[in-house]
Amino acid sequence: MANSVEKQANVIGAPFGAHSPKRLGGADLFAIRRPLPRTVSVVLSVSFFVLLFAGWMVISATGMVSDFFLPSPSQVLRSAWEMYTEKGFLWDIAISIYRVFVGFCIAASVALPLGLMMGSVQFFRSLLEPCLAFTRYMPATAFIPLLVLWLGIDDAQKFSVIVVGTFFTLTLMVMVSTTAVSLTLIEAAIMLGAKPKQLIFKVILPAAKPAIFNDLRIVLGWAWTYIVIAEIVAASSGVGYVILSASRFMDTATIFVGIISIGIIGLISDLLFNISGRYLFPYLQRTRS
Amino acid sequence: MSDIIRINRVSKTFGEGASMVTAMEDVSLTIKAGEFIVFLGPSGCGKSTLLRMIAGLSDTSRGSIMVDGRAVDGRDPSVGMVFQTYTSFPWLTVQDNIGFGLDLANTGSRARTEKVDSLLKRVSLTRFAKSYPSQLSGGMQQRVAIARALAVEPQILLMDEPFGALDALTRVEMQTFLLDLWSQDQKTVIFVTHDIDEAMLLADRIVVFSPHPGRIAEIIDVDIPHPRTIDETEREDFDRLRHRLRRLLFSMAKNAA
Repeated sequence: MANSVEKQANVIGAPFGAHSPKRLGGADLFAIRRPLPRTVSVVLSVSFFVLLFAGWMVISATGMVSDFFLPSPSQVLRSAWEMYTEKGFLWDIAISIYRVFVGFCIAASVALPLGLMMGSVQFFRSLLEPCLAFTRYMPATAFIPLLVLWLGIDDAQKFSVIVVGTFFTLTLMVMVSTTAVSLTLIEAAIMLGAKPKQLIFKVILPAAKPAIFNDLRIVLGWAWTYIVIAEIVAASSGVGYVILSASRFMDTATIFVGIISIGIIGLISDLLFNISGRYLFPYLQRTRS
Repeated sequence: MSDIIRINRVSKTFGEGASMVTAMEDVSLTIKAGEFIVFLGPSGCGKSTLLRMIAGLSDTSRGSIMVDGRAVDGRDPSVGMVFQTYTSFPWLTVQDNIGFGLDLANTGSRARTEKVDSLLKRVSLTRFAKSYPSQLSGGMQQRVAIARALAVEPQILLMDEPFGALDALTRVEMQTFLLDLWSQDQKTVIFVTHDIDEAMLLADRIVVFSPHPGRIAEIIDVDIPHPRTIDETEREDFDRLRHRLRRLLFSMAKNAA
């Protein structure tokens, strides 16, 4: 019985094409909302990376663009090797990760309870939402000069840039995710005798957790933008600082390595979120409807 | 049998001023302990609204509702509810869903286990004790919801179109299952539906509501003895009742149009 239910669930979960075609014609590749065989999907994803890389190689090989502006792949690879083995770039990455981690944890540790309360109790929402929505539109980067004046150029300033850049929006996102918890679910718990505190911690929080987890994943990506800006403005270490000093020496290859490295870090953190999500929310596999 | 629910001249309005809508006007009804009552009516007749007021999830605008001698003021421990949408907690296994109300009340672990196990057996879900709701069919999910409501031992069970989202076959299966369950402990049940056959199969009394604003149009006794099965619905007196209810509901639809 369970088995047949699961099979059914898979069909329901699939996009509305009932089956993928046995032999792929050209038109089938572009059919609307029809799933492609997994191998085809993987080949497509990989080939775009290959294409990009090939294009880059061709452009540098032909000398269309001076390698001062666009270093060749081999230059970038050489640069990466030097940076990671000799110049201690790993240390700069570690410092940036540390700053992002602390800044993001500070922002999240306030944003989570606040967003949860705002999404659960109208009082807190009316009190805080307009103010947060207003502050959210102030660009975090505009605060950097002010934060340098207040906090100097130490790590405290780096943390604060990340907090200013992520806290307000994260709070509002958590609030929205909390509000999305179905009222019937809450009423069902009320009818089982749940008191307000139990409603928040035993119903609303666990129900909103997967969505909140996703909010964190998205906002963590922004934290990386802010840390690099903060390090470019005023720092003596970190990925942003390395990028800035490379530009002073017109070392474009190093800038490339810095930027690509951040992309890879982002990819890895996404992966970690996805894997831990699977452990934290085992019940989200094979969801019906 | 003693009266367990007294609904006295209850009205319900939504909104204020010019946009005020009267959902229910001057409804009075007395329900005896152990009765199986069905609220039947077209959508917009206020049957679910009245159920929510009995549950304490919604206030009355005028009039009063007494449950077990107490005026309704928020959720009463003697009232349990099953909803139309699937309301199992998706992050809890079937057994933890059923034990949810017991956990809220800090029930001791042995009493909890015994209770949950016996309920799992009653709703035939023992094999699925450790499954998550997303792995269950719609009928099973509603059985979890029923078991979960029964776990805290309410005297009154309110059911708001609980089988509305199920396919026709599962629906009949669930109706029979519910009758079976009810025959074991004779709780007072109020069951909301717009399905005539469902109402006839289940009810001791059918309270028919008319819409705009919601009022009680008629109260009909169903004199067919329990235990009932689906075969009963083919009896002649059932046919007569079916015609009568159909005429009643369709005349409302005409008046509304």
